[in-house]
Amino acid sequence: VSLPTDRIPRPPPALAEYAIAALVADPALREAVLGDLAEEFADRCARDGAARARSWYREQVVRSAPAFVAACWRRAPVGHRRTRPLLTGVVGGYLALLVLHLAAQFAAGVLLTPAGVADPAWAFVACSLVTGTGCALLGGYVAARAHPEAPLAAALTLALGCVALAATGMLVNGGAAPLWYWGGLQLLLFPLGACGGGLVRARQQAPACGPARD
Amino acid sequence: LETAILLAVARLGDDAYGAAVGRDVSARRGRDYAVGAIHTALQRLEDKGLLGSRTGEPLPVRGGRARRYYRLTAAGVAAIDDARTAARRLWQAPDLGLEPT
Repeated sequence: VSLPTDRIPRPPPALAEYAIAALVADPALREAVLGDLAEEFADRCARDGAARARSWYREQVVRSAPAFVAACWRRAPVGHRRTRPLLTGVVGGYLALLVLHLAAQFAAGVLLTPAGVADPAWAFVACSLVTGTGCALLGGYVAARAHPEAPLAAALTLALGCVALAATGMLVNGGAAPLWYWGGLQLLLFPLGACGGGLVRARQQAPACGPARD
Repeated sequence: LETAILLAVARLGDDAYGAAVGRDVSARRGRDYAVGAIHTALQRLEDKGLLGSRTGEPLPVRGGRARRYYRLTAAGVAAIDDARTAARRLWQAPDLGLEPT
């Protein structure tokens, strides 16, 4: 099934469109990708129904993300002026995430122990998970803000960096920290939070990085 | 993937835009390529000077966006010839003795 090119179709899922727009740094490539996805989405809506077409669109976002992040770095060689915002964003985002998380953990320890919480260990875990997610959101936001051309690509790089650091930490120092810390917080919540922060920034930046609408 | 994309652009001629190239490559190679993989490969080939591109007219079906059409450059045609020559040379090897066991 191929729709006539002058027919105005059902709009694709907005968040997925924002994600693509925030992943592709080159404006010409961004328009081509969003246009191709919209065209294919319209075809699939007519052929398979709107629900399956939306699911296909979201799958394309997830499967395309690594290629777009790699392209973002490939087109910004080390030392080039375009590298600096991306690098500054990722490093700055990670530092913001780490410093704030450590500060929040310290504050939680100081507040919980004298407050006579029945089970301070579990309260501390819950507090760490909440503050860790919040800090990761902020880290992703900082990274995305420093690289307005492709905010989500910077946040995703930060997320991948978190995973790599956590995996290294588990191997080198696994016994020194409980499993929930590495698995739950560092491997899951930090990367997800960083991506969330990047998306928040990308939506704030709209319509500059968002999909075009007539 | 890059050679497959160059061949798809050559086959599609004036209709070689991202989605059409993706469909052609996916059908011929028997696997489903993500839109991102096809577009970043097209961009890579353009950066290498093997492809050129032009922007078409905005279309309502694409949310008012234009298609980006690709065409082979002289260097792209030479790259396809090189790939064909290299493949032919590989297959001209003496009998490999590949018998089913």
